[in-house]
Amino acid sequence: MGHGMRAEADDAALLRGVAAGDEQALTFLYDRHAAWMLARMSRRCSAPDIVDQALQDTFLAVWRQAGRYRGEGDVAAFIWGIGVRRLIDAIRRAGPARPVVQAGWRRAADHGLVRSAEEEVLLGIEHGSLSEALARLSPELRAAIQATVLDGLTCAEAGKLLGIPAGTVKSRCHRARIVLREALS
Amino acid sequence: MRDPAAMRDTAAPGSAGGACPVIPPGLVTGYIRGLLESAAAMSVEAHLPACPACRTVLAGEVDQTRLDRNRSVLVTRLALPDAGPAGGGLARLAERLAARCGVPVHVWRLLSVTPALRRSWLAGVGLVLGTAIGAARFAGPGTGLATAASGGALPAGMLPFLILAPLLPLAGVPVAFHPRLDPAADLATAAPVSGVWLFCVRSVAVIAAALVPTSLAAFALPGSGWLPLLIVLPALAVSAGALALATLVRPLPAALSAGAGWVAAVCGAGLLAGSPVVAYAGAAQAAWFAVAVIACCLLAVRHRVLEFGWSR
Repeated sequence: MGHGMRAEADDAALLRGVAAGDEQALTFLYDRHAAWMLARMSRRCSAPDIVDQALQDTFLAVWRQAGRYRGEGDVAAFIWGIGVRRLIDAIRRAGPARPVVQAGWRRAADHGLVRSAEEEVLLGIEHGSLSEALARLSPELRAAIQATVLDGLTCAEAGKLLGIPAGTVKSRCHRARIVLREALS
Repeated sequence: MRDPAAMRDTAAPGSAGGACPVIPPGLVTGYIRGLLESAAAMSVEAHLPACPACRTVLAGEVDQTRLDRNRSVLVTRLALPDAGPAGGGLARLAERLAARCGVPVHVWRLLSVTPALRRSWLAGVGLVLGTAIGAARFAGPGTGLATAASGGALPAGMLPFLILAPLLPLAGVPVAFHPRLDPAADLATAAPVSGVWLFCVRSVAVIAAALVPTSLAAFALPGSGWLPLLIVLPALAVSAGALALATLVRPLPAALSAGAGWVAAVCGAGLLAGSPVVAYAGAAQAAWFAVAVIACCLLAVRHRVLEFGWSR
């Protein structure tokens, strides 16, 4: 493996190359994953400089921690798991003076709701009742669900992010599950 | 609850080349433009890690310049020494102080690996200064510089210092910007780089690192008068001139010709006006100011050449 990694190699092979110290493999991973990471991070933090910092930190951490990937699950999910924590760190380092957490994590109400007919149909087919059920959740419950289920944070990490105790995260997730279960049954 | 795992199963593993069977491209572009309500956005996010096809669609919507810039900073940060436990306590203290003053950690590290800012280089500058000062003092007090400028005899032994003073900051320029001498510069050349500010920080740091000690050392000269301040403008003009030239030719010839220009000016002053000190006197200061301004204008227009490939 090691050197001479090719751009067409699959993610897991690239990650093994990174673990073996192949810098080029890391740049291939960057070219493949940086764009969507940037987009997803930008939905959670409104300050571009913090997102840039977190993006670089993420791939530096991938460089150091590639060996931790056990070959289970998507490499993309592994990178996001690192990235979301780097982002939280970067936001925390920026200090409380900069209220930068937004959108997915804290936004109270949706804005600029524009959906094409095609998307309406698709959502109806794919997520119909789930979409309605999520919409019925209060912003606090939705933020708790998003941080834990979607972003894969622990209750303690989610609590730090949202500025509430870990126990509160746990109880909000519990309540959210009850609401969702009722809505879906 | 239908969750990421369920969606992952529906995404064909080999779908990298083709279109995604689950989510139409319109939804992905809607996601990145912030047009989706949260349930749809969450669905896209849950889907992304498992679907190369959708990630490709999304990549087309992201600012490529921003990605390139982050990529090159990442590559540079990879090459920099890790200031973790390995770095000395003093290095970490300096880094923390710099961070307090608003210098990002990676910029600080980039500066700290710049060859022209390393301890050995600064020691060399000190040695040259010490020798020049020593020569001047050894030659005895003589008349002050002020009288030399107005036609009096130049103190013997003063000449080396007068010629060297602006050349010391100049010498740092090609060392800092020559790719073969600077590993960080070499790496940064591999990708589009870093931004004007990084270039400015680097040049200012390199020039100041030699100019400040030179100017301070001038106080030790016998009868120095205003010389410590008079050094500043010619030194800035010569260094800025070298940087401006480096946008046209390679850094080393640029620095050599700027240096030659300075030596020619001093010798010219010595031959035509009777004393090399004239190169530091009133009218000459105005000329140096003009040179510095022109060089900075040229840099403002052409800095991109240095920024994007220091070898060009």
